[in-house]
Amino acid sequence: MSQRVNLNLKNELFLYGAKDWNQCFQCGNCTATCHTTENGFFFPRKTVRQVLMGLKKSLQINIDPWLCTYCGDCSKTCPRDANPAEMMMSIRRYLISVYDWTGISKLLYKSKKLEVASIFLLATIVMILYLLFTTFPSGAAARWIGPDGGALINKMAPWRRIHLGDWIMAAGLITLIVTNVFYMWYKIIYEDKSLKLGFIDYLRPISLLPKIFHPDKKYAKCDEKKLFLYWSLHLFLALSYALMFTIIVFFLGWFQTDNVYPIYHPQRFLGYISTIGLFVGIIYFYTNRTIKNMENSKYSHFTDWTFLILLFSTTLTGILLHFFRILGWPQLTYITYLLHLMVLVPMLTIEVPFSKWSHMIHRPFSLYFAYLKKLAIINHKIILNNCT
Amino acid sequence: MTAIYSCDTLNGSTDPLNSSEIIDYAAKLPGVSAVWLPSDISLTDPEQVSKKIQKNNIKRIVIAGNNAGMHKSFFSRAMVLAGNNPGDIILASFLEYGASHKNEVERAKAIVACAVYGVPFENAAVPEDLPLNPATLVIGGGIAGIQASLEIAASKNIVYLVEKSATIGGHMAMFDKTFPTLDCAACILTPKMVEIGQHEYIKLMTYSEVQEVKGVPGNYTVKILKKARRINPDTCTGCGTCAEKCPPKKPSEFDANTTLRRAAYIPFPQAVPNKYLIDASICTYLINGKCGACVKLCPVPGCINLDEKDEVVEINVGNIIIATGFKTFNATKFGQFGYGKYPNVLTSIELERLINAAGPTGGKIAKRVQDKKGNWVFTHESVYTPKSVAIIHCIGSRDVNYNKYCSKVCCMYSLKLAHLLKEKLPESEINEYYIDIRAYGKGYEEFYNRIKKEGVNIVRGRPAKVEQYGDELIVRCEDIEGKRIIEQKVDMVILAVGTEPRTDSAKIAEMLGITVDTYGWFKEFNYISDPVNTFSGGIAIAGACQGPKDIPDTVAQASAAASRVLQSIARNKIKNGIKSLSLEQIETKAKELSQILQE
Amino acid sequence: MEEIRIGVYICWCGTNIANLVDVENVSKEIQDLPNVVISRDYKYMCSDPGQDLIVQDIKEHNLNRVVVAACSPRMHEITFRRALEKSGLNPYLFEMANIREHDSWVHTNRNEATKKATDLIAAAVARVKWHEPLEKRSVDVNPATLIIGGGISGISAALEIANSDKQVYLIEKTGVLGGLVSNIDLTYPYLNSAKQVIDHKIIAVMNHPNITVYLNTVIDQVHGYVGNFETTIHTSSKEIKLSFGSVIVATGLKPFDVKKVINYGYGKLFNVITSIEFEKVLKSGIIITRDGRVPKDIAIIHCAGSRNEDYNAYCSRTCCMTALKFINQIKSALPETNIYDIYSDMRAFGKGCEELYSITSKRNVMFLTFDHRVNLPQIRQASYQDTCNLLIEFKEKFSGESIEVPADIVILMVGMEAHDDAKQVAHAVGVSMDGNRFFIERHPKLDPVATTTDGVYVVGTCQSPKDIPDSVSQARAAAARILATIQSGSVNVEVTTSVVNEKICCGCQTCIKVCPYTAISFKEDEKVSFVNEILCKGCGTCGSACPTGAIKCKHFTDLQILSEIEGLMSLQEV
Repeated sequence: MSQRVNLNLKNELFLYGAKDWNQCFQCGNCTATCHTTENGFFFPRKTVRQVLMGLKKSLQINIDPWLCTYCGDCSKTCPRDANPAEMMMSIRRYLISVYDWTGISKLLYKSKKLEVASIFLLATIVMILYLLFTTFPSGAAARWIGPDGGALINKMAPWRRIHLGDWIMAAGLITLIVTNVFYMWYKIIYEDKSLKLGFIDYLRPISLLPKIFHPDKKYAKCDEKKLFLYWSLHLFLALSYALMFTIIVFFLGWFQTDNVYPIYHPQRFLGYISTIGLFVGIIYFYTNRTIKNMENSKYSHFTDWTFLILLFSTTLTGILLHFFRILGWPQLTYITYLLHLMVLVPMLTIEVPFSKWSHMIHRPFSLYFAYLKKLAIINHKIILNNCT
Repeated sequence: MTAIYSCDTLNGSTDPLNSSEIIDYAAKLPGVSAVWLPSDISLTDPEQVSKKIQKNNIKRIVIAGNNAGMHKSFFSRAMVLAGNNPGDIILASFLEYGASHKNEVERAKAIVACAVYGVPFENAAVPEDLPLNPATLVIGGGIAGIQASLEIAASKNIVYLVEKSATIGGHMAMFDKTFPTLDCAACILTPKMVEIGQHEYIKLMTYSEVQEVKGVPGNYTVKILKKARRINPDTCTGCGTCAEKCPPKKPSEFDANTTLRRAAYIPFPQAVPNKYLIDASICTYLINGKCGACVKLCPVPGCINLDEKDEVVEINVGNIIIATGFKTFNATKFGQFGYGKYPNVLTSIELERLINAAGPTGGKIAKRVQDKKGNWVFTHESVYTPKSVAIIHCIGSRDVNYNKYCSKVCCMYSLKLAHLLKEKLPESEINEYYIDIRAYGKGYEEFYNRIKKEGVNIVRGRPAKVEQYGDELIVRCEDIEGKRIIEQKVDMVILAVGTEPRTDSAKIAEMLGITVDTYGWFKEFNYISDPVNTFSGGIAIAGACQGPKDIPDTVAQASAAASRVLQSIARNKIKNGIKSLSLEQIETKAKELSQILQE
Repeated sequence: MEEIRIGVYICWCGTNIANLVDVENVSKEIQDLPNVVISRDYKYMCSDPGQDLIVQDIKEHNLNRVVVAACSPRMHEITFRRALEKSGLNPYLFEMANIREHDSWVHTNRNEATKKATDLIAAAVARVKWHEPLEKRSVDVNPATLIIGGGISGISAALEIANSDKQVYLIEKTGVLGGLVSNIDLTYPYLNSAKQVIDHKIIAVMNHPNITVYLNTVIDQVHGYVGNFETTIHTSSKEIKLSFGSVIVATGLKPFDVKKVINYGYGKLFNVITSIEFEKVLKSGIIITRDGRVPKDIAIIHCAGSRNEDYNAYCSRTCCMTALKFINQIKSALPETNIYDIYSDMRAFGKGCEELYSITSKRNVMFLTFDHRVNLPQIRQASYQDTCNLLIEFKEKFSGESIEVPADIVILMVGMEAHDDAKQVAHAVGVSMDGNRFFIERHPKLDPVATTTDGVYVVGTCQSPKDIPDSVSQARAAAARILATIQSGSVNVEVTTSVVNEKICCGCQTCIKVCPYTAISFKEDEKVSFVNEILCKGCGTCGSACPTGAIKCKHFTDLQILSEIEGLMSLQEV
């Protein structure tokens, strides 16, 4: 069955932050420069082609953009300034919205206003809940102030209640993530009848588990040399994030305590490490995007900024909260705690399933799927004509 | 009632025309009832415009701007919607008559004026006749210069042919064979070169440069610097004894730097004039006062005079033809392909010499080898013939990072080189990597098909890198039509370098008072209807100095340029340049003509 | 008869000959042949020193015959004849042995090639013995010029010559001047108005004192020779005799008849139109489908009838850029329209063309690629509920997907091909045609406008597809030749003509029947044939037809040819 071409797909993609690629004349320079391309995976050229021709079906089951490490070599050497690298990123955003069956992420990506609005909405909801279920440490509540004069957090915002909230949110997020990934698998692997995979094949890629959370080492061959620092910091940030996430979502009771432990206590230095990780990372990426010194930070979609800003303010409020607590300023602590929640919750609920954050799930899985496809090629010697 | 639409410039120059000035002028022209700016008109809504047309009862529209044509169809639609004749749209395209720079604002105005009066610019802008000196100066001794000179000299009028280097022949002489007929360049060019040398009406001045041009069309005074040859061409027999003891030092220009030449040298055996000369820049005697071996050896007494000085001669001519040609793109700029870094990455022009019987290896295709000093060189002895060769198209052409334009000849000469390689190394594997094959000329497409049949492996896809592992070169590229990624191991990579304007083209243009485009190619009077004339009457351009061209087009254009000269000779007068006309003159003439038209 | 002293010169032509012919040995062998005084070999005989070699030897060894074994005489015979002249020897005491095209280029075995070379040279040596000195003759030139074809090429040439105050007769088959250019709306690459280019030229031609224009006119056989041609032309009303010195053929080409390409369904699907038709649409200013709707999707298919063995194998050179021009015009008239450009190789090679290509690709157009050789796109009517009128199905090369493209109008970029009457014209003026029925120029590179018939020039598209600037350049190139000829006042004519030995002639008049140049007439009173040596082209037909051997073709006498054959065989017995 022949697909109908469609000029509007690329116009739709402009909403996901793409630059003008009409310039592309398909010389194949980008594919040739790229070190992550190999037979069966002809990106960026072929992906660009799909967009230019508006082949929605092919594009939606295309994993290649996830394999890109955004070294920017292709954009630098492109003879027509068609920005293939940035396009890969834009298509990632598009794909995120495709994998999200709820369709929310499509809306959020397409409209800045909506994104901001939803953030504030969530924030207010959080505030209301907080004010309902917590108490301000003054007057009658004055006795909640600890011996050191600092607020007894668990008295004003008992961790069980917060934790309850956590779990509800986490449950929601995880359901969304799982269903999205399933949907992704269904579209990419299941629907592609040319792929014949036995159950055992699914287990084989276990070996590459550790790798898939970090960009392929191939980028070392790229001309862009700053990448090592870039990706190391990215990894650091991601790990710190994961650490903090687990602590908060699963061990809040152990983390949110009223007695101040000594510095060497795991509760504290783990907290510090991950905070530093987050902070350094955010600052680095923020400056990168502002001074645009690397190909991969030249163009920023507004969702890139919102993620950074939310993450930053979450971290900042977290740090402040911690210090106000130690310095013993109950009122400030109380308010900061509120602020912290007010940014934390939107950050998670918006970014994790619907926006930039989700690449933390999608990329590893697409690497996994890509690997499965390679297996399929090796196993069954099928030529991947219509699937890249 | 005429309306003027002043469109924004699509491809302007570095400091473009001041459009507001032109608009103010145009608004005052008779019959102009409205002037529309891009801000007044939404180019997506012809209905709105058609209303405007009806409201102001517009009968004619003049579209003025650098690329007026871009908007014509929009306005013809509007005209039709308004019930008018779309034929009444006149384009005043500034670029058509080469007005894009702010200094050319007067001409731009004139173009608008002519359009408003409904008179062709060429008819209105008719300069007065000037007396003619029948002699002609041709600058550049390439095939264009040669052709033009012969055409004119055939009419028994004097032609001065000035060539910078020591021989005529230009790039064509360096080629081995020419596409698509594959006859050897030397075989078809040398007779013409000889003819130039023997022709009684052609005054050949090689190793000379035009220094200064003064005067008006029909009567130019030209100062020509004759660089000292230091060997008297009248007495030199071309025996070559002087060169025997002279140490080879400098990369030979003729062999595209693949060999070394001596201080006392002759560019190549078929050079015209076939006389030796001494290159002062590397002559041991002239550098440190010792040597002078050539003087002792020369059998003709007094033939060599190492202390000869340059001299300046002055000539008077009526016409000048510029045929300065092109230079090849400097491939070292294209870092990815490691030209200059890897010894066996060559440019196409180097391969031409390598294939040529008189070339550095005597016509044997062989890889560079290291000599005693460790330099990579071609030798007659070298036995390393490449098993596989990659030819990469569009080096420095069709690329925003280098030159935007297409160099026109690379596709065809690459195919030709592929054929020649296949012919000499039938066993070896030849790969071509291209973006689009541009086989446009007579017999070119057929040639392309023939090469494909010969088993040359022609791949669509632009390689991004050439890397060397050991003495193996790896070309990485996507075979777009074959749906695979190739990592081709080859012994030799050929870069099909594009053409560029000569470095001194700007200088020459400035000296002769003609204009160059954004790249530095000489600008013609009107690309469509008058591709050889310039805006200064007595000066015509021929060949690749106007833009990339293949040999047939160059020759045709050279003859065309000659016809301009012959025309003036036949009339024994010459038209002054358009530049000489003031805006008022053109406008009044246009007015007269328009009145004649009305009657 | 003086002693025959022959000098033989064997050319290496770099390695072109030396690779397969053992030149030194050949020259040794030839040395021993009778009358051969000297036999040399040299790297490039055609080069200056090469020629000087001959000149010197003639002086030193007072040679009176010269044989050069090198490339084809078509290439260098003139060069060496000139060399003989320089040394005061009659240029016709010279013979050339073609050991490149006839030998080294067509053989692979060195020994055989060497042997063949020796034989060929021996033949030449045997022949040159009997060469006789012939005297060059020159005739005056009639300054008038006949131009066939009133397209842009014809017009440019006419103006060029007429502006030099020389008479021009311009003949146009149709009722109007301007040719294909007058159908065009805008020209590429700068999108200037074609109307503004051609119209005033036409007016200028019509009103030019030195140009006589004959519309609706065809020509008879052109008689005569360079400088002095004559013919009769048939206008709608009367017949006119014209005499002129030179002829420019600028008959141009006609658009390819795209009905032949079944896949495109041109003629059946009425919204499939040719580029020529679309030019008219653009001129009319309103772009609508045949059924009067504003098109939502427009598809353009390149290479219709070009670059395909089944139709025309060659590339028509102008279609790609015309297509890009169309895109810009459509976009400016109907910005909302979707445009699909289906091409094979984008041939944007001229000045400013690649720039136009990149401007165009910025305008939200979809460029698709197809294979111009096999399974061409299939155009079919779309179903009624569909959003578009036509559907184009094909396999897209760059994505490898098989796709369908919606379209309300499909524009076929038709190539150019020779006129149906090309053969007649060619015969009338005596130019030859190639396989594509294009007129052949004398040399594809160094003589792109002259033909093998002196005084007859082919310019513009009639010799191969071209765009306007190239046609104009060629037109002027021809003009240059003609102006130069007129300036110099006279031209040399063929000297190797045939003569009748009236003593032997039996007056059978066979020669008169066979002569293609009507150069032979019959003297009634003496009952013998007579050759007009000016008209005679020395083709030799009469000589071979003459039953009595009364006709002798100078430079091709029976004696010369027979002894050449003997020479060819002479070494066999050894």
